[in-house]
Amino acid sequence: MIENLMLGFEVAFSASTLFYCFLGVSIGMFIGVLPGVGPLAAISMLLPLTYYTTPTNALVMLAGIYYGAQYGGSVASILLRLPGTASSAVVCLDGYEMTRKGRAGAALFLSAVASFIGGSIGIILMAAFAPALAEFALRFGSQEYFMLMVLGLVAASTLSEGSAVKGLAMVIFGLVLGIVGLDTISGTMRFTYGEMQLVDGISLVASAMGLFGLSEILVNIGKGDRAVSAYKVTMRSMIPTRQELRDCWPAIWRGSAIGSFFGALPGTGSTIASFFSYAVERKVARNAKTMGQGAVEGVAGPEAANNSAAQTAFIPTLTLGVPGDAVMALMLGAMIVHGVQPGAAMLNDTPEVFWGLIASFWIGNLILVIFNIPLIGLWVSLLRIPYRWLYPAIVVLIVIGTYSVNLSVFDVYQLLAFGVLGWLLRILAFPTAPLVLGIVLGPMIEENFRRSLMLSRGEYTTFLDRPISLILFLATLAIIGAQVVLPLWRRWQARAEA
Amino acid sequence: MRKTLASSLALIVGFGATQALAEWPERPITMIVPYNPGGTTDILARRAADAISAAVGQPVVVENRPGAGGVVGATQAAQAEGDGYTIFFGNNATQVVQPLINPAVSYDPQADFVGVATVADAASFLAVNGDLPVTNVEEFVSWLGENDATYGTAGVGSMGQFTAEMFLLATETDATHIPYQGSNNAMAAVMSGEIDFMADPVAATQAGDSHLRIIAALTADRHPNLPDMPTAREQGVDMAIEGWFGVWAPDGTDPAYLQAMSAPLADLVASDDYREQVLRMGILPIYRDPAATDAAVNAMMVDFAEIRDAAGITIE
Repeated sequence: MIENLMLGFEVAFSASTLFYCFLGVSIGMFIGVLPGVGPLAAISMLLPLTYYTTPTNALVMLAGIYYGAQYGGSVASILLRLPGTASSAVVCLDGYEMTRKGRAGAALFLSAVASFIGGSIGIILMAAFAPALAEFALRFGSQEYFMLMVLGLVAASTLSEGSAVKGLAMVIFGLVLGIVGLDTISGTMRFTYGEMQLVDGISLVASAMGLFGLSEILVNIGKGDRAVSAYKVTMRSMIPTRQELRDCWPAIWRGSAIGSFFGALPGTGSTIASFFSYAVERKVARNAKTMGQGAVEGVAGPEAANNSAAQTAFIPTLTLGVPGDAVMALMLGAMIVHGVQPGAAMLNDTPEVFWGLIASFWIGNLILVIFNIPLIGLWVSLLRIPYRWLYPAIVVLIVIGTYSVNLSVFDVYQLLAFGVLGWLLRILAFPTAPLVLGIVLGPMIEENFRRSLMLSRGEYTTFLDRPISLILFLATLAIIGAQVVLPLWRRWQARAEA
Repeated sequence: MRKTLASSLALIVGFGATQALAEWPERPITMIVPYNPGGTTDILARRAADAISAAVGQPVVVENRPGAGGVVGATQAAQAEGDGYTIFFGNNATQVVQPLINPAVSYDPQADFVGVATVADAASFLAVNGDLPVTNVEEFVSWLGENDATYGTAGVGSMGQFTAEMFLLATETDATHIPYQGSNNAMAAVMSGEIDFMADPVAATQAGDSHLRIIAALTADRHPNLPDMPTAREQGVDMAIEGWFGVWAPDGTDPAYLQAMSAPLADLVASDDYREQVLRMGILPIYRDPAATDAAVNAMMVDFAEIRDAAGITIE
């Protein structure tokens, strides 16, 4: 492995590759910061330009855009409650609260550090165990994915503070919204009302941007400008305190582990990884009680998770030739166009591309973190702009970003509808994060559940017959036990004593 | 049929054509592509757009209108004026499969579109899980007879489902259809053994891998990328299927314009650089002129309607 890595670094440190790496991560970070404009749009636009360079350089740049966007995505989440990418939506919860407390700089700093560590761990795993991890990922069939999603939903019922019933209601509402569109299993159009634009379902970008970003702007209309300018932006506020560093350290490790796992599975990705990490932090973090009010773990965990997932997502793509999401499918297409055949043979046939990519990932992550920390001052100073100037500009950016995903005006209407919905929900004190998670997980849960039953010819025991599926099921039961049964029992005991 | 006759007549007359061509195109042409940028259809569309643009002396602007498996963009193109300023880059999904199975499709591909050219054919392969005790079509057919088999596709009404059903009909065998979100997920399921087989172009990307075994090319001729893989026909099963990619124009477009756009596409498909690029993507560079393009749509309409009815493929 050391020998291979040497080869990789030799490739990655050549002047032209270094240049493309720098170019890729810069573009990625920039589009990550812009709300709504995701890596998919940027990679697809730049793909034709890469025909004029070597395959390694092309892939290094396109990959840089992908993971660079994960770094940038959290900036707008933390500063403005605007998820730059869907995978940084959950960072809004505590990141934005930190900003409101004058800790925007610290939040950005911790997010950059967490991203770097998360990304590095993902890369190390990839270098050391890519083929083994890919074999493991293949063991995840429909049953396993279903159980994993159920586990996620149960964990997510604690995603938000406040009333558990309201949180649950929002998860279910999200699942219901996830039904809209063409049903994969039966080929039935559901709740599309003849509208072709709804066939692909509710737009995830539009709903996340509407529920988090646009609703925040609506809530703040009429509150005046003072609230904003009051945020202190001092040099001191940019450096995390020793306590903050100590608290977020374990969250970064947990987030990296969670992210690496979900990234390596072709059926899940960085968005689900960040939600999971957040749900875990709510249970085990030192500051679990203040999660949702600006706890550092709520930023560090999910950030580490989505960056490590962005790296390990390359494992199934490169070693199996099976892309996990639309961006990875595009990357795979780019490789084939460049004459690089991904799959088990890639490690032997084109080792310079494989190891060059891995080495460049790490260099890219290093560039990003070095790049990001001096930029924090600049980002934070954005908050000095009065909201009467900032908000209209943001609305324009959100609309352009949402439109750019599918070049669809219909998606912009969805954005507006979700903005108003988010505003109403916030007035009524319903949490919006579980709603987004429901929309993400709903279609996957249903599809995998029904497919499992098709494969088992209607036998429900199929979920318990398979070892991984069974373990996930028991873990779900354990969480339910710890969350529901235990408190009830304690209450009953307390009552009995009294 | 009448349309084909009309276009050939116009070509023979020729006179009206030259007059019309003197004025067209005086502004950029819009090419609607019904999928996201960067995918196979988009890459081919951009090559076609460049070729047409170079020949007619006006920019051809690609507009991506993705959604609903291509139906969103196709609907928009069908409603456009047939004035030679809007063209459409479609495939057999937008021109045959969706109109056949999806009652919500509002356009009629035969009445609302006229063919300009095809520029490539997709080539499907029959592939089984690597652990199946099967190495060729004959063994596979007898294995199908003894086992409850499952096959995976990119969804209900996908090309993969039509292809697999065509194979099952031709061999008088049976298997359960298991739909996935996209071909790649179905392929992962074949590789892991969750399902037994698939019939899809994507299988070619796994040639030589131990998780997946390709047992037949489902095209009429052997694929240049896998010259040692015999076709299903060579192995005694009378079936061949090709999906095409090409350019269409809204109905009413002057036949002279169609010819003016088709000729540079013939040159494109014949060029070495294009052939090399599409073959690398596993696609066959195949050109059809306007009449042959219309004929390909008409023929597939008949064939696929039969498969649809026999296998009961429908979207509600």
